[in-house]
Amino acid sequence: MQFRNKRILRARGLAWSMAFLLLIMCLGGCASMQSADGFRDGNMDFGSIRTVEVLPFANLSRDNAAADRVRDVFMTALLSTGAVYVVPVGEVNRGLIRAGISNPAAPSTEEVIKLAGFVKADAVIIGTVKEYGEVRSGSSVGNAVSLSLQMIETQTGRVVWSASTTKGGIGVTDRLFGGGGEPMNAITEKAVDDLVNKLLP
Amino acid sequence: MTWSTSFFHKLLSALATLLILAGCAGQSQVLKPPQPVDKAGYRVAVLPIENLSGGKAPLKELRKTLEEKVESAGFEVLGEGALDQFMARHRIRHVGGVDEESAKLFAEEEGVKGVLVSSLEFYADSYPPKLVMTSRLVSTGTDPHILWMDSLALSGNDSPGLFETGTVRDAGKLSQQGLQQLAVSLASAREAGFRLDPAKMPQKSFPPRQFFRQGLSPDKRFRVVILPFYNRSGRKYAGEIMALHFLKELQQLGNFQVVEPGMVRNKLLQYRLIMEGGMSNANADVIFDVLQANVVVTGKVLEYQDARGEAGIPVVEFSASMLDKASHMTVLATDSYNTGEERVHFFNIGRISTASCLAGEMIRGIVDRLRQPAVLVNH
Repeated sequence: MQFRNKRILRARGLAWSMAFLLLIMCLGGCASMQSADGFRDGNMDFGSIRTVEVLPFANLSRDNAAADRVRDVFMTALLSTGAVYVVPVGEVNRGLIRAGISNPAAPSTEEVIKLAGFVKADAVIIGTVKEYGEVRSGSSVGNAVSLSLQMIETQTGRVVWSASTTKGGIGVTDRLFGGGGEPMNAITEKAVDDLVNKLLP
Repeated sequence: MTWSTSFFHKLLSALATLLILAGCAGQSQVLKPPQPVDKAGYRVAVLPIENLSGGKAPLKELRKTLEEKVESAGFEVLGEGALDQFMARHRIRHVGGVDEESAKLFAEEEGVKGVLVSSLEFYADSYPPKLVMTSRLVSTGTDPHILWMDSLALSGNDSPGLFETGTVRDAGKLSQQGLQQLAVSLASAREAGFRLDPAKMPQKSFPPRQFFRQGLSPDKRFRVVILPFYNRSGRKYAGEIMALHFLKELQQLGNFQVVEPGMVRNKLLQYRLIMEGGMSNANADVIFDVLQANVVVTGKVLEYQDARGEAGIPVVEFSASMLDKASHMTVLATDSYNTGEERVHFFNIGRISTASCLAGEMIRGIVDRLRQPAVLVNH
């Protein structure tokens, strides 16, 4: 009798464990895209950076204007923190022309140092828009933004900060009920805020 | 009288009241003709309408109607023939603004006190008909400045009312109503001595998505130049349209004197200023000097989508910045994105049917922030 009870208890325990594992797997499958990765130079005094230039972003998405959209939102978000001054776009473009930088999305160390000679900035931010727009998974549709940024110090040309973020994607409700996910506007704002928070914690 | 006849009479009267009310629905836009002003003739020139709609529109008919409405509002209008001769004589081709030279000549040769500059932003004659137009009165003489500015954004299905009795299906009727509105606004502004009336300013606005401001105290006066926005949208002339919206809203602030766009265009051509990809400090210096301005506004339009048909939703996205002469720094940076259905919760109530109206409310959100006291930011 005692032996039988033990068997029942063991079977129940196994069933509960299986159910728990299944739940974890279901939740894992439903999770939307989230990421938290980055690099921050421990030897860099970020407080000394007062002026930054945001160079045109590289665009790997299907939307031709995605890089411009994200750059605009990022520049205004960075300015609105009040922590740094962002050089106006026109002045950045003038500097790029004078420095003869052909690919502003990926400048070399020498080019960054040269650019700093024309536009007085303590750091340069470069970036890549990896995803911008609709993503599909089976019959579910959602919007996603994925971007990565790097900050390069203009005196030495070293990368002092790097981070990436991905927001949006297909969530549980999108999979269950459809709806197309959050609007692009909202997730762009979230992605940019995430990066600004990583840069200025 | 039996119970049934009494009930029948009550029902009839209730139905009649309903019908009368339905007939009145959506008629708020129908305005009474403006009362002519007794004051001595205020001579104005009504310039041909600048077409920023990117499509075909009955510009001559619209101008003719506007001229009639302005005349009936108590203004003395310079005849079409005389205006044509004047424009041919002085080779005036651009009708979207008035430069210093033309303003002086208008006053000296034609005795005109103001020039009415109108820009057509959108026109649709298929159902629902739409008319979006901006007009401004520019003073003549040696120092031309904007005396009055107003815009209209009408759609035939703005106020459908009960049983759609308030819908306007005829584009001509809608134009008559809209241009009447503009003439009434112009006449009342003249009566008020072209002074701003805060009570008449629209209240609805959309707050910007991102906003930065440094300085720009409401107790200081600014002379501001607005450059045409860089257009990255698919809509033709969206840059010029957005600049006009900023002009109208900043003018409402009171402490901002906006330089007439015709003067700005003339100086940009004269000094061959080409600002591809944004304005540099060197370009800004020239603008500050030749137009005696202390701030300059520039920006980028990323989306300017008008609502097509009955179910279309307008979408507007732009960013703008303001550069200060003294510090050579950005004193205002803002970024906005909105759609026309953001205030809709049920039955399409609160829907915005034109991109113009939406853009106006978005810029008003920025201007509202500028009314608040400045917060100093240390860089």
